[in-house]
Amino acid sequence: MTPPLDLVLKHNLWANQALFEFCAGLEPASLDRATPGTFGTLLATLQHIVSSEQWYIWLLTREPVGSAVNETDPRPLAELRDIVALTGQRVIALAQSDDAERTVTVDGKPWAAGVIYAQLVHHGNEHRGQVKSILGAHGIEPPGVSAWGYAMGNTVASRARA
Amino acid sequence: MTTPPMLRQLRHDVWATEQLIARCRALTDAQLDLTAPGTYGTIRRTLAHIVAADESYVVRLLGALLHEDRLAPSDTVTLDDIARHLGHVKDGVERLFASGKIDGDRVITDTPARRPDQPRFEMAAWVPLTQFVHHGSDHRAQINTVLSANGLEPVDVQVWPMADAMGATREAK
Repeated sequence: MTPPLDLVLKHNLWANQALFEFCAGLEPASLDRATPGTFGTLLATLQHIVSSEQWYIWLLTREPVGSAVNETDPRPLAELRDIVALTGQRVIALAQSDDAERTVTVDGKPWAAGVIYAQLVHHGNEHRGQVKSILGAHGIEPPGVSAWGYAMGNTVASRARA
Repeated sequence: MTTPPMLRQLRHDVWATEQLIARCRALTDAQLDLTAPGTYGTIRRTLAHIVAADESYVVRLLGALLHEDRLAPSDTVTLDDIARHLGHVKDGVERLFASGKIDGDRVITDTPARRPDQPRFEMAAWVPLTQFVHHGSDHRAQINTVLSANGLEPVDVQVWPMADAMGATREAK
């Protein structure tokens, strides 16, 4: 019996990899594009996804994963792509044996570990959505990163069923 | 009693959409019809799309229809319509987990919402569950983009404020 959260986290990893891979194929200048109402440039948003996943995992384990990403220090997309693979795999492994009710201290406040997992999932979906908005606003068809696409094993099916 | 992690995810999803609806009640009709480049469409259409999709996921997972027909997104749908249908979703999510945890590997062979002319899809239960969570956050981000792009205050729909509101966190003594 597979816990559904396990698949949600696997989708998170898959969607990040699909999006980062897609962006790696763009003209480098495209990474500096933005659109009003979103987090920032395309690269800054991707970097924010990575640094946040590192932070969530640190909250859960007090251990770093990958080279620390500082949001004020721009990193090459290739590095971010490698790190987001590590964070995605780490959180999947963590969730398999973690207790969602375990207390985790965040800024001096006790939280259930499950809240951190929920935030990680929400955060990735939210900011990937912004990346897609930036792409769409600049006439670039974004890749499908829905669960349909993950289930079908490719990114074309998800667009057809969105 | 331990809350199943997936139920926590879905409760957050419903809560976040409720927050957006509450925010949108302070908007004018004209503001509800605002949009921004790269997003799904107007705020009104996007909200209705989120809830209509949620209904389809819940119906598939429950194997039963909800209290009324699925919400039909349109340019005239009202926030009251959307909120009422989100209530059905909320109720359906709780019923889904009423007997405990869900087996993500359980194969769902069809949905009661399928029209006769539509193809039948078999899928593991984790697929609509994962899509539910992905889809809501994806489109709520678009609504926040539309709000911000038009100089309107977006809504913080992260898990943190929900946890605070539910008393799931407190100052450590």
